[in-house]
Amino acid sequence: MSKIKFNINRKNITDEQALKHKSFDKVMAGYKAMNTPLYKTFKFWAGAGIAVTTVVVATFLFINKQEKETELAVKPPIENLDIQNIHFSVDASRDTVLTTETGSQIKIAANSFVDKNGNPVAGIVDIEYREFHDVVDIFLSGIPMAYDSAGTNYHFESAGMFEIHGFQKGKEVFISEASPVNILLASKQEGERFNIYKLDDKSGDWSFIEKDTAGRIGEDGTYGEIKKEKLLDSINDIIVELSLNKLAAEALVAQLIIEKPIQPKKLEPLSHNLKIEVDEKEFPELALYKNLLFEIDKNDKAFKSELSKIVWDEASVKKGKQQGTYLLTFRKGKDEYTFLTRPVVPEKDFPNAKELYESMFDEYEKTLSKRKADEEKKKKELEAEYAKLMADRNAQIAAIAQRMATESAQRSAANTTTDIIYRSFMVSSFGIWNSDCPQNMPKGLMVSAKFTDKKNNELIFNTLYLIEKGKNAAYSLTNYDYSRFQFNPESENLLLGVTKDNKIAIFKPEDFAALGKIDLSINFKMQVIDKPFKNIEEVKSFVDI
Amino acid sequence: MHYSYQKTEIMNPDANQPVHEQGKHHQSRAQLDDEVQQIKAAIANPQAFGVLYDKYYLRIFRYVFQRVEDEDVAADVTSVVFSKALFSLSKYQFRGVPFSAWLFRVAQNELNQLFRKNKVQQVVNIPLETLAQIAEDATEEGLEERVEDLKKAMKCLSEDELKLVEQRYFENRSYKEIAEVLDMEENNARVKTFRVIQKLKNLLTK
Repeated sequence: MSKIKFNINRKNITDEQALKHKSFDKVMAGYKAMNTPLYKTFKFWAGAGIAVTTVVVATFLFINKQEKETELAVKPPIENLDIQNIHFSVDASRDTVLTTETGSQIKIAANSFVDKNGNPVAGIVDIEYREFHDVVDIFLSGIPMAYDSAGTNYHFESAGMFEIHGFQKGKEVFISEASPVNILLASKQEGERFNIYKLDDKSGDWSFIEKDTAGRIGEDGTYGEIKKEKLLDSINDIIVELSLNKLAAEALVAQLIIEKPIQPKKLEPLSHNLKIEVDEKEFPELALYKNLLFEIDKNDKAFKSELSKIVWDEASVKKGKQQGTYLLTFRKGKDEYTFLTRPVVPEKDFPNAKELYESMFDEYEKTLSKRKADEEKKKKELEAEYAKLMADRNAQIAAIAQRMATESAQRSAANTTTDIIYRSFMVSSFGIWNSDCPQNMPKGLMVSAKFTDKKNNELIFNTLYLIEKGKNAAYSLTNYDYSRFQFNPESENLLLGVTKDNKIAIFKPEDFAALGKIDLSINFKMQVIDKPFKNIEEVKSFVDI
Repeated sequence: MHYSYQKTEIMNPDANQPVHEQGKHHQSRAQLDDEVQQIKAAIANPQAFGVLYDKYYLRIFRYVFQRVEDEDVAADVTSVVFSKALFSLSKYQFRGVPFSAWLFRVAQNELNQLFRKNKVQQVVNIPLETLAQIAEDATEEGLEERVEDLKKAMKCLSEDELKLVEQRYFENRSYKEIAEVLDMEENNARVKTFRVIQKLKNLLTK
């Protein structure tokens, strides 16, 4: 907070000044830059230009720097426990379909590869490929799973990720713009809530590519997109419809709002006061009082009697924060003064003003009652409408569930295809791709956390994830101050981390259950595994999620 | 003593207070439908975003300008806010949050990032009259000589607390608008603001 600068009464900017900066072209230029792949940017080519014109030593440093940046984005937390690549060799001039152990398919059309200058690549191309399906894969890969959507941070729930690269004789090749590689990723997650994203392996930022499409591979080996259920659109329609109706109702009710009348006060003898005509439409609560004056508040130290000698160019009125107060602003040239005032009437006009106030107050109360009744009526109508829309939606859900069960039974009876869902990616560049759904951090109980091993030695983490059983998401706590975090006590939670001395530490769902009544301050006594795991399967078996 | 002033033209008191516009921007259903169509058009053709840019430019510029030191910085940040909004437009879904509130969130998030990375000087612009109002809520004492005390007290507020004071007191936003921009429940905004004022009160009476 010490970096914040406080300005008092800074001059406001006029519309004209603000509009001088208006430039839609600039907005479009910024937008286009966000849409441009890194290799097409000036920044990239400037970097490449420097690299080719400098001496070998400089090139070596440049490569090292690149590697260092990559290391920052994807950082496997445990050496020798990273997800391994599988290797394929393909003839670049022929159509090829590669099938992985998980059942995923990589469809490469002939002439899909180009070199760094965009020239077609012929001959054998080596493909390196690996997949990430569950939270342990995510944990061990070190792939960042935070997603920034317009500045708001989310974490991905994953329907599957993969990384793919191509090389020829050790040199990187690229995918031709004209011929993207189609990857059908065998996904273990159902649902239509996923989108396709691509990782910038330098910055660790994900870019949204498109809405995910899911399908199945039939008996004849062809891929067919699963027909999108109308249900999601329907829920969205319900929300839009209700929101619009609610806004329309609010607008209707707002029309009935009247200003609460201001009780007139008598002008204090010897007080400073000002006469100014007020706009009847803007201040209806004042307009009816005859000979209305504004009395300067006693606490207003800005007022000086010599200001009365000035003939002002402009004056304006606005309501003060406290009910019954008004701020009067006077301007002449560059000088501007604002006074806190209260409306008053001269003593002779007070009886009439009081009578008028009482009549206005009665009218105000009547309108207020009508407004409340209208609000109540509208609320009931909205509730009824909501109940009807939800009943329709629930009927729709039941119908879809019934149809899915029938289809599944038919597939089992025919014993033809499995229930594997394939998520289709049109891969336009090598790197890490995913089919994910952005999620907020779990909400529930905010706890102040201390982490120790079973012997009460404090633990410090390189990485620490909160995992909810049943949700394929690993929420990174080390992105934040992990000594305070929220979790949902209703979920089956698990903490999985790597300590600063590179040991896996775990706090399992049964450990959460053993906490009993959860305090706001928790010492998580974690199990730290001293003996190194032999392979990933051993980690999965140990984590058991 | 009575003073009359000549040429007492009543100006729009909010002419230079963008925040007062907020409450006046309740839109009818037809207007909201139009806006949904404008958003869809901009998703299909980014050039069509110009309509929404024209509509919200001044409000976003003023929101940003209120929080930075000079207008050139405000202009650059505003431009980035609209570029990012256009880039993320397909992710905007009408779920009870007006498009304007979503834009303000994008602006606030962009500012948060710039402040966090120390790329831009964070500024809190305090109109003296509203400072007086805070103190009126916070203490019974007079104010002008307490400006420095209040500035010091405000330095003790967290980022989130300061945002509430800025929006509620320096920009006169309704709790509904604050809730929409800061992505919280309206009642939560009300309660938290009340607590911030209590905190200021405690700091001032120390």
